[in-house]
Formats: sequence, structure tokens, C-alpha cells
Amino acid sequence: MERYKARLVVKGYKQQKGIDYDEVFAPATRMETIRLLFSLAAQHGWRIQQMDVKSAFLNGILEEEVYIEQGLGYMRRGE
Amino acid sequence: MLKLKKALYGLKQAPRAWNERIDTYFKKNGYEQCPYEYALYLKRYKGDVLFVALYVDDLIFMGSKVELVEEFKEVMKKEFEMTDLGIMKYFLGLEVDQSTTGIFVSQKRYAEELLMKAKMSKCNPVSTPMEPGTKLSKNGEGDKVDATRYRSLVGSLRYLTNTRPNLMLSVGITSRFMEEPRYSHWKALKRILRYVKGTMSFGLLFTKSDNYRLTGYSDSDWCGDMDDRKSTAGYVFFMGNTTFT
Repeated sequence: MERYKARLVVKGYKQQKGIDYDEVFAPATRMETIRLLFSLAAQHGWRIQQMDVKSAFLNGILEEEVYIEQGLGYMRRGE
Repeated sequence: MLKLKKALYGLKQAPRAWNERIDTYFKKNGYEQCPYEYALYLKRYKGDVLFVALYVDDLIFMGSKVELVEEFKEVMKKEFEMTDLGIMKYFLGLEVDQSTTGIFVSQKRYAEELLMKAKMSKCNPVSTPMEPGTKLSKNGEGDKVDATRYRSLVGSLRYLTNTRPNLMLSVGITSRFMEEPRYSHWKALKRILRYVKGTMSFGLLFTKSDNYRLTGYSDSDWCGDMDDRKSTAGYVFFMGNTTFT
């Protein structure tokens, strides 16, 4: 065992459109575009590089007001 | 009750909120967004250019000058917490090999997994994806087959066409029968998979061309569909030597 990984998540399925969220669409590059980039790179002798963002979704800024409840089992004794 | 200040995993708007964040960053820092492809950004410097393509939290980028690319990496690492994956080698199941000959893109690993899923890892290969002159109809011959399995395999084959455009036609034909696949359709699907077995390492090779421009071809059969007399049209576009769509 090298390390433990855990992630805090929200029950997104409880959210209602128009109340808890408005827009959910996020654009992703089409495969045609990616192939076109390959072509451009080969033509000009460029090297394509790659990076990814750690925990990208924790970086997002919310436009809506969203409230959450803490999960059971995380209360301190007596609270 | 706790009010959220930032997005969390699982929130419906989390991907969108993230995109908003990085999009704002790019626009504030002199990048132009492609009007036809919102996830593509471009930054112009005197005579030089930098391309950045976004795939949710993955970034692929290239530029006409090495320094520009290196500087981009440094700046991005400061702004966001990022992992530098170096030269692009593996992206969304695509295996990318960048060499002096050109860029070779294939999906060998993906094809292997697909054959495993179809339990056809040891099947006999064939040299074409479909028998010439194959005519399939909606009320095809034979018994109904497991539609879920059929659809899943067609879907996977569809993803394989990303680097195997020559599979487009045969996969397209089999996907017409997803609603109620029958044995004859199933046989056609298995044949494509046997072709894949013999051509696992095929892919697209992008090379430098002396005649780098857009060339398109198209063709159509004449009312080839047995069910509704619709025609099938096909097209292929090249940029220089290699097809891209």
C-alpha cells in the first residue's frame, strides 16, 4: 500500500435545474480538431505537449448559491 | 448547512465552473478563442503562435517556438496546480508517437481491449471489414441478438474510427441496426472485429507535405438502403497527406 486516496463529493443527483444550477455544459475539443492539430504539428515540425490540472473541479468558481450538508459520521461527540 | 464557495466533485455545474475559470484566465491573458471550436485557444506573438486545446482538465498545446511553449508551462503551473506530462504520448486512448518522420496516432491498446470485451482475442483475422456487396436490412435474417451487447460493441468500434477512418462505412452500416439487431447484423459486426484483429497497429501517420492544403472527396451510392431507399454519402478531407475527417 503506497497511499490512501479519498475525495469529498457532493450528491449532485439531488440538485434541481434552475434552483441549484443553471448551465452544466463544458466544451471539450472535438477529435477532428485534435487530428487537425496533429496535422499542423507534423507540417511545421512542432512537438505537442500535454499537461493536466490536478483536482480541476475544485478550482471552479460557483455562480449559483449552493448549500450542502455534512455527511453522517463526521460529528464530534456531544455536538 | 454549509454554503459552498467553490465547486466540488459531484456538483452538476462543477465541469462548467471549472471551464469558466480557465476560459476567463485565457481571455484575460491575450488568448483568442476559436469561434468554431470553443475549447481551442490561440495566442499570437510577432510572427509566432501558440495553440492550446482543452479537454476538460487535460491540456494539449504546441507552438512555433520552443521558448513559448516552455514559458506557457511555467505560467500555467503558477496559476493552476498542474502535472506536466511532457511530450504527448497517450491521450483519451490515442497512442501518439512523435518522431522526425511525423506523428503516428493509433489505438492498439484500445483495439486489444475491445477484442477482449468481445471475447475475440484469438479470432482469425480477415483482410476486409465487410464483404463486398453486403446488403443488410432492418428486418434482417436470423433471430434477434442481445441488443445491449451489440450496441456496446458498435459504440466501441465507433471510438476506434478516431484513428481508423477506413472503418467508418462498415461501422456506420452496423449502427443502423442498433434498435433491433439480428443474427445477420451480428455476423457483420463480428467480421469488422476480425478485421480489427488483423490490423491492430494501423493508425494515422501525419507527415510534412509539399502541398499542404485542404482537399476533399465525396461519393454517394444511389438509394442503397434496402429499407427506406436513402442514399449513403461519404466524404474524406485531407490536410496535406493525411486525412483528418
